[in-house]
Amino acid sequence: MTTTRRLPLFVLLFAIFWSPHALAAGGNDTAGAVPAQVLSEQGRYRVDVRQVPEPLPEGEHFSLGLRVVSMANPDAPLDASAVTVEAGMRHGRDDGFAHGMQSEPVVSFRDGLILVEGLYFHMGGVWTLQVTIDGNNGEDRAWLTLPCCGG
Amino acid sequence: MSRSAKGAALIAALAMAVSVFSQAADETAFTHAERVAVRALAVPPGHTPQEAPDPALADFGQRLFFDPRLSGDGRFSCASCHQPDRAFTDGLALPEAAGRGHRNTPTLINVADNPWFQWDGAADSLWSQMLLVVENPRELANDRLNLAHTLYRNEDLRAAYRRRFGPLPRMSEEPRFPAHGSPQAAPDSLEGRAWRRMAAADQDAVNRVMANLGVALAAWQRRLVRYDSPFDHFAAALADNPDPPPDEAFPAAARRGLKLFIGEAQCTLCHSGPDFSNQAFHNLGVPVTDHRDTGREQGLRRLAASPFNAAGPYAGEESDADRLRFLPPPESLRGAFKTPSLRNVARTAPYFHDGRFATLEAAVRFYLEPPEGETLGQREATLDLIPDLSDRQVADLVAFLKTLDSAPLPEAVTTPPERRSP
Ligand code: HEC
Ligand code: HEC
Repeated sequence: MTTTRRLPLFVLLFAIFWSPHALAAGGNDTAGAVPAQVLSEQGRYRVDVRQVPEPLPEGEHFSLGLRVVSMANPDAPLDASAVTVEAGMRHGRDDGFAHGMQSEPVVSFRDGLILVEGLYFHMGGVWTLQVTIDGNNGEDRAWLTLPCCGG
Repeated sequence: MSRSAKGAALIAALAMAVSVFSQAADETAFTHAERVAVRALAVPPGHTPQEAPDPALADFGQRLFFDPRLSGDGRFSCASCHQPDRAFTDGLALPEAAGRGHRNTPTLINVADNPWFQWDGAADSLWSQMLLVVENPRELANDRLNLAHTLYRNEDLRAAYRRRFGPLPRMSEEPRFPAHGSPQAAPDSLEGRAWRRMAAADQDAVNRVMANLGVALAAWQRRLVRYDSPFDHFAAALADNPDPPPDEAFPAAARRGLKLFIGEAQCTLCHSGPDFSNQAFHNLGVPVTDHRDTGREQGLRRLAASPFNAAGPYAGEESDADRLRFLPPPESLRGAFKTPSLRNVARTAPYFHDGRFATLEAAVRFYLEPPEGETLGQREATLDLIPDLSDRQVADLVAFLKTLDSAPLPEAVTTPPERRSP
């Protein structure tokens, strides 16, 4: 019995020993693309990413242009007053950020888009933008994955 | 299979895994991903600074840098603390000039293009950083009116200033320009009151003199650019060959240390890019000293309050005021300090913002065994990604850090220009 218990542990140890090599190159999480749209947690809203620099810059300010609609009324985009944002890196956590940004973004409404200015990523790896929406369809949160940068 | 047979099989498998693993760790060849990561840190050998657009301005800055007349009592210059033969540091935990400072003296090599200056980023430009030093009672302990008078009184400085920036204000007009005064001085002190009694236009004229001196010092500091370290040479070799031949200046331990630095040890999360710094501010949970330094929190407050910031009236057209719109609330970065460059780090002991670590090994061990004590703000959880490292791994990291010394700067840049008339 003890052996069968230890086997998975051994496999685990093996995996731990090997994973750093897979994770080399700056310890960054694997990069991918910015999604074009995401649904909020409870499905109340949809966030479309309309403007995004490609690739996202590291160590420079940049902006995102978002269109946020209620699933109850998908033709009427919400304006900036319904939206607050916060960005950070999870570094493997399930909830909360291991750290946030070192800038405070400014959210405004321009030409039908919610403009998020002043985003600034000071570390390579996967960042997450938390979009909190409090519109005509109740409160909900959406998570946008933003891989930094260009890898 | 019997239990003992299973046990034996397990031990054999384990032994094999260990041997495979240690072989992998000793592997001298670099993977593709590792080579990409190394390239992001290296600067091609032969890189030289662009000559200042106005060499005479940089020469004036060099003269100022070595000139003790910048200090209140005429005893200290910038070079008292930023000593050229110590990579522009002073070898002390905390500097000693007019008083004993609270923070360790950083190098000035490759400093010019940083986005923020000082451990707390209280200055957003190199030229404006100078004002923080000149009037710091523990550093140059001067006041701006006295410094403007010093320039005016000394024919060599006055002429050099005029050639670059035009005539100084008529400092000899005593009631307009008191002998001493500064808005930084305590409001009810002699200097504070003297400053407040001045006409706004005269205050502005003196401020502009300070800004101009800062511009000259900055122009000279732009010449303090040097990469060309054994690491850069190794990286150049690595670009052509995943397993470059042995190199005395970059020993096997340094190779292993480099692999750790960009990989498992996660150092490049913060010490990234050609200056080995992401130029951001991190709370590493360093226990506070008596001074209770709040780091970036204080830096953000001072920056916002300074008329010399990029949004102020003394900033040039090229200054980037836009980023000041997005500064975070100061409290959010309480206890955070700027990631220091690791270039020339073997020559810049002691380490950390308060000079608490005498050796590189002690500085690296900090990440494994954080010291106990009261801390300010919130320690950044990023640090939890750094695994426990063996003694040998620590030694390898240190061996790697010792390959980051750049080739010496030309003597013409690092020695005081002789005191001749311009
Ligand atoms: C008493 C010692 C001392 C003197 C004199 C001194 N410095 Fe410094 N310097 C320091 C210390 C300490 C810091 C870090 C200060 C902080 O973070 O609060 C520093 C920081 C700097 C920085 C920012 C570096 C960085 O990486 O952010 C620059 C640039 C600089 N000094 C230039 C100068 C110039 C130019 C002068 C002369 C006008 C000067 N210093 C005089 C000790 C000194
Ligand atoms: C989360 C960001 C972060 C990570 C990860 C990190 N560092 Fe640092 N490092 C810093 C900061 C910030 C300081 C300055 C701290 C202070 O002065 O309070 C620093 C200071 C140092 C210093 C002292 C330099 C000096 O001039 O004082 C050394 C050496 C160093 N780090 C090496 C490493 C190594 C090796 C690793 C990987 C094991 C590493 N660091 C990982 C942010 C980081």
